[in-house]
Amino acid sequence: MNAIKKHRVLPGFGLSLGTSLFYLGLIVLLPLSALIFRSSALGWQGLWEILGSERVLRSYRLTLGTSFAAAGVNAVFGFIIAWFLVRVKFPGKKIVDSLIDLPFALPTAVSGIALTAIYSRNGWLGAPLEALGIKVAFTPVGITFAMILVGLPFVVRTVQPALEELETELEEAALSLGAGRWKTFCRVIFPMVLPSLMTGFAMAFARALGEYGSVVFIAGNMPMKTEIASLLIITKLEQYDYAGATAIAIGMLAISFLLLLLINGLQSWSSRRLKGI
Amino acid sequence: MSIKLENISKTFNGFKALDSINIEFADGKLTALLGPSGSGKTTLLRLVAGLEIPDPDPAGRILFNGKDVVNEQVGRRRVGFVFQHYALFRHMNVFENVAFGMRVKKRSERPSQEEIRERVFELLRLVQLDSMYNRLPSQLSGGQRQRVALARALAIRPEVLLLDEPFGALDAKVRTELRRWLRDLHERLHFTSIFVTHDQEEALEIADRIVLTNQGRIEQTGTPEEVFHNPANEFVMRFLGEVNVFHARVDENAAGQVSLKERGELSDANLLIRPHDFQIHLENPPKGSRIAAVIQKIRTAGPIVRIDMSDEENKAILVHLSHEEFRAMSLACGQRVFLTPRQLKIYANGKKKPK
Repeated sequence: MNAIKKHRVLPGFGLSLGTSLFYLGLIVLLPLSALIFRSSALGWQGLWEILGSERVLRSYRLTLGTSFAAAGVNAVFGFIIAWFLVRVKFPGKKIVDSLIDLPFALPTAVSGIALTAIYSRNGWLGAPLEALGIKVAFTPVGITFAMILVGLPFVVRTVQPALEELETELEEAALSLGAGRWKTFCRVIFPMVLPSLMTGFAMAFARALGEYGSVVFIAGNMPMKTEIASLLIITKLEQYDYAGATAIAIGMLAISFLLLLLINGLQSWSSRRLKGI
Repeated sequence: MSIKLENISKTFNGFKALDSINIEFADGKLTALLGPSGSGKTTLLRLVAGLEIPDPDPAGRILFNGKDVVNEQVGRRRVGFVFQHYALFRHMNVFENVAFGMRVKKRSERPSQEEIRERVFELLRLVQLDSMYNRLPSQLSGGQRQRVALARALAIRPEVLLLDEPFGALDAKVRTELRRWLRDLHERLHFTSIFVTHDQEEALEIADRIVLTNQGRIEQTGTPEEVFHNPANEFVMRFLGEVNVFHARVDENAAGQVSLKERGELSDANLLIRPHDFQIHLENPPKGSRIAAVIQKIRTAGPIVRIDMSDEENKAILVHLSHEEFRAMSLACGQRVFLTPRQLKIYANGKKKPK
């Protein structure tokens, strides 16, 4: 510690390290440990019983499935939008650009109500879709739609800088070597943007996992069918079953943590490959 | 393959980067496009490659072996392009970078895996990097990266090799090594090559022909010897090496005779003398034009001795001497000497004056 400190050129190493650790401990680790403390009353047996129940398992599956689908859709369209914003010059670009951030700022309950109004059986889009036999409101499809909305900016905002950094020389090199536009995209551009796309995907996925406000209105919240994990937690809390609620939360956290760890691992592997470290 | 540009202009947002250029690049020659930055040399190269499209009006032509390729896309012109900053694909190793041009061919034209492998290693041996085939670009030095870029460009069997300041990002020692190596390579492969540079030494050393560009126009074209010894105008002379400039008045009546006494602000011509074209006299020579000067600084480190002097008007003069000459004269700082030019060029309004 002392040795590291001595050779630092930039001042404030000790101060910034201390602040970072203290802040992380206070803001992140303390509430998490309270969660574990709360649920520890149940013991392993009780925890296992709650996590193993049909209703909880189904809600996990629904939450993970819809989050994954939403993040996947966002990865595709977020990439296209980011590409559009970086490469195409058009009037009003600034406005479109700031439109992307709106889901960040929108209170989730508001977006939930708005989505329900559009996709419910007699809504603007809900009615024609219903005529086609696609039910959106009160189905996993609706849940996915809500998650897509809140997750989009994450993908766009992570991919955008990566695309901006991409030298046009690389594309020109590929073109001069005889690659067409499509092959240039698949073999040169996409692999180079992939790490940031994966980061964006992970962030959108994480956001969707924890989403509550915008989902509950459109989900219909039918147990075993359209009940997401965060809703189940609220339900437990309303029944004063704090230990049960925290148990579900811990299960959710563990799964999310493992998945995010995996995605981040893949992401850092692919970016290491790019940088060749 | 011979390349000919006819009446080519290029404008970027109202800025005329190239102004009705007419030029021919001979088959099998290594041509240097030499000029200061912003002179349009890179634009010219990119136009040949097809990375830029010339102004449609007035319509110009770019002829490859007599065939107009203006509307032909870059990938179909069969040009090998080497970028200043290598533009290697970072996520591919050396082998894959070189193989890229073959792998992206249409299935019907694509060589087999075995052929690709053979060709890649043949090229890597050519650039002396066959042992590094599985390295990533980031694990290579700048010089090695540029050689990979060159091998990659050669993999598509181009008819023309275009190099955009290929050694500009490298340090001086690697740069000189690589340009000799490029010259050797060109001697062996003998295809039409054009390279852009702002380094006159580089152009003079390796090019068969030099094209000097300035402000979107071509100032002079010729062999290195021609452009160095017979610069067409003041710009070319100044650009091709260090030069001392004196303002002078030309007496038209006396058939262009110039007197150094009349130099000063009231000038209508410039008199240019290269630093190595001065003769130093310790005593005032009896006749002819001479400049009285005081030695300010002597630098002997290097292949030649560089001497800074100042004349009576306190104007700096640079003189180059060989070490032998310098030793024979025993010059010292503060010493007063007299200079006579062995050779000089006179340009009025930038243009050459008849002798």
